Amino acid sequence: MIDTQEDFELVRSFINGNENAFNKLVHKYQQKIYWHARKMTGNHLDADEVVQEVLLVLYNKLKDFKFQSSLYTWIYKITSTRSINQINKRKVRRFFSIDDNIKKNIRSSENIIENLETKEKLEKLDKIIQKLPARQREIFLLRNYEGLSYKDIANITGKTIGGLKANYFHAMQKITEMMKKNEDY
Amino acid sequence: MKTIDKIILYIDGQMDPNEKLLFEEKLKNSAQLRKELEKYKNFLNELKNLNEVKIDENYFIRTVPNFRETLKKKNQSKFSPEFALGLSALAAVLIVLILVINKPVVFNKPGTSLLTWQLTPNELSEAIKMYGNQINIEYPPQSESAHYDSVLDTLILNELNGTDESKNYIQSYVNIGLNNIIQNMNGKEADRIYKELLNKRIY
Repeated sequence: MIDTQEDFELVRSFINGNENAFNKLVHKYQQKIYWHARKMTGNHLDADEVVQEVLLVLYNKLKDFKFQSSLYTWIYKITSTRSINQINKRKVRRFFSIDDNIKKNIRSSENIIENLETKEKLEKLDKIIQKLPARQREIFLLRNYEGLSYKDIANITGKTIGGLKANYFHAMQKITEMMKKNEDY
Repeated sequence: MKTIDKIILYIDGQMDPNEKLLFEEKLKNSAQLRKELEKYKNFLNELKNLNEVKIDENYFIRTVPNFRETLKKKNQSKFSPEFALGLSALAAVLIVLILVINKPVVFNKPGTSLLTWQLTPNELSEAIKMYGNQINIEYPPQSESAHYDSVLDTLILNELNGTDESKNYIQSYVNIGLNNIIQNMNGKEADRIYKELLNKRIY
């Protein structure tokens, strides 16, 4: 359970000039940011770039935080947006065929994964969720892995709850279709 | 609606109470539906298990130092918006000034009049070099004559490589009257002055 009050105190402390409060917020949320970005983008290198971008946005924009919604939904919102931007950037790079070196880097960066079992799990997960369109992927991840309510997801994505339910439904339909085709899922 | 679609809605809590009751009723009576539901639940659990992955903890230890390093670099290279705006304005002013100062002199076409008194000595010199005798020099109005004289004086001095002293000397002779000097000059002197002038490239 995320302690919203503790988050607010850390944000206030940071706004008042305590840099260490920002470090504490990073320690608290870095894994959530990384994994959401990692699942959205499908590779470590892009996720790492997204993490640094998200932290930079947080650092610069926390002074504008309104204390009306929870910090974690705000962080997910930034992470989702930046991840989708990163996915689009990658598409452009691929279109102009300047992605070859990036592919090599992506492969070499995967050695931060601790063991073979984890590697296989991640590959399996990527194989499934990377086939979803980015927006459906976002909703599927937030609903399935972060366990967020549709209300929270609506805050993050700016979509209506009805639209989100329909999107999630379509995402699940696609995934079960894949499951049928490849029973090993 | 397909069975799997109903299962998705049921598991996700998207059914309204009536639909839910009906579905649960069907579940009680259908072993096939129960099997399908179980299969879907297992699949969801499997998906969730895929989430339980661990990566090198050192990566997360390095996150803050990496971020601080990035922030430092950004701050070093970043112009403040005010500074950038000021710099742009200054550049614009400089460009305008350069264009005004280096505004090319548009000389009249050969055969037309050249308003010489509106030019600086350098511009006049350039015009003469370019067009020589092809241009008609118009004499200035009375109000501009002083400037015109000074421009021509400067031009002549430049050609003769003269100094201010020699300018005064020339002017004093001009005041005496050029015609008197020429009348009193013998042929030998005139010949010598002519050669001197040729050497000084006066034309």
